[in-house]
Amino acid sequence: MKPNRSLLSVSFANIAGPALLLCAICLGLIPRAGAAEAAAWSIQVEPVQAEEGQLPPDFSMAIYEDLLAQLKKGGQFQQVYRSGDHQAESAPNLLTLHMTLLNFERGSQTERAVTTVKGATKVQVHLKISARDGNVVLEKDVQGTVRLFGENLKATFALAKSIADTLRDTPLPAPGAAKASGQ
Amino acid sequence: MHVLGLEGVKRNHHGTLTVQASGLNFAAKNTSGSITIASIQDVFTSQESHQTGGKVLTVAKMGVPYGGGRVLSLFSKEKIDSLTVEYRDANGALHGTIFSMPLGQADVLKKQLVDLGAHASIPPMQSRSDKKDEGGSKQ
Repeated sequence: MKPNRSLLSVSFANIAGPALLLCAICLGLIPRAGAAEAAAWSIQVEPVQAEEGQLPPDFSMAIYEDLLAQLKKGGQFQQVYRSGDHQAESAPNLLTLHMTLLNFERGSQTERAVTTVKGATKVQVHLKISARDGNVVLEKDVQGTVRLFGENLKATFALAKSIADTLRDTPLPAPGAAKASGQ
Repeated sequence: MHVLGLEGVKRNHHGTLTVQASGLNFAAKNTSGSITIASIQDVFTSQESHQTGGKVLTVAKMGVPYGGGRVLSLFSKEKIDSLTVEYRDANGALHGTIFSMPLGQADVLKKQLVDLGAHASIPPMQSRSDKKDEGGSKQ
């Protein structure tokens, strides 16, 4: 018995369309939901707020710089501004990212290399992103850890990456909607 | 070695860090960067212990049988200094740059920067290496 050619071509078309669409989404050719809204925002990053002596200055600056690099690399926002940048004052839809230190444990690279289970370096911050009108868009605790390989400062890179991933996975409201809800 | 944060210089680039009247200059093979004295908001120094040999030695140590690699890790560590400089650019934007260098050199560079007028919330400590090295330091 010969297979029905027209039936085969119809079923192929039915499968191929959704499959191509799925591939395109996976490859990032089609932006996911929320990405379009995020692209309308610009973001200004403030350095980590911590009580004196709780976080070494090199870690604080490394978190700040790593986060700026991750956000720029992600391309999620129209502009990524540094703290104090006067250009941000004229940005139409500006979010401000604040970080407050929750926990910092300085480990040892040697201890990690010798024991493999001890000596982890951990940095945990409370992340708060707010719009210009004070409306809080996102609040979350994020942690960066270096457990096995790498220097202690690698924890700041892990933290910055986690924050960037959190932002990418969180659907941000449309700028107009955020303004409306803030009023 | 430049660790991160200097405009136009890639992360973990090796080069020479010098203090001149104009400011802090970092020069490497194909790249360079500088921070003017007037733009510096704060300078910090710290010490860090790290494993030497980089990725190559780390992988090699994993291959040593009977946990020999772990024993090697006990002896393949060294202390380094790090110099953190916070500065603002022409737009007022905050930048942070971290340099790592051999032990004892960060305080020398910090003292030189402060002598030239850079602001530091913690005054530089006098160290023995001050007398030995007055010029730039090779990282």
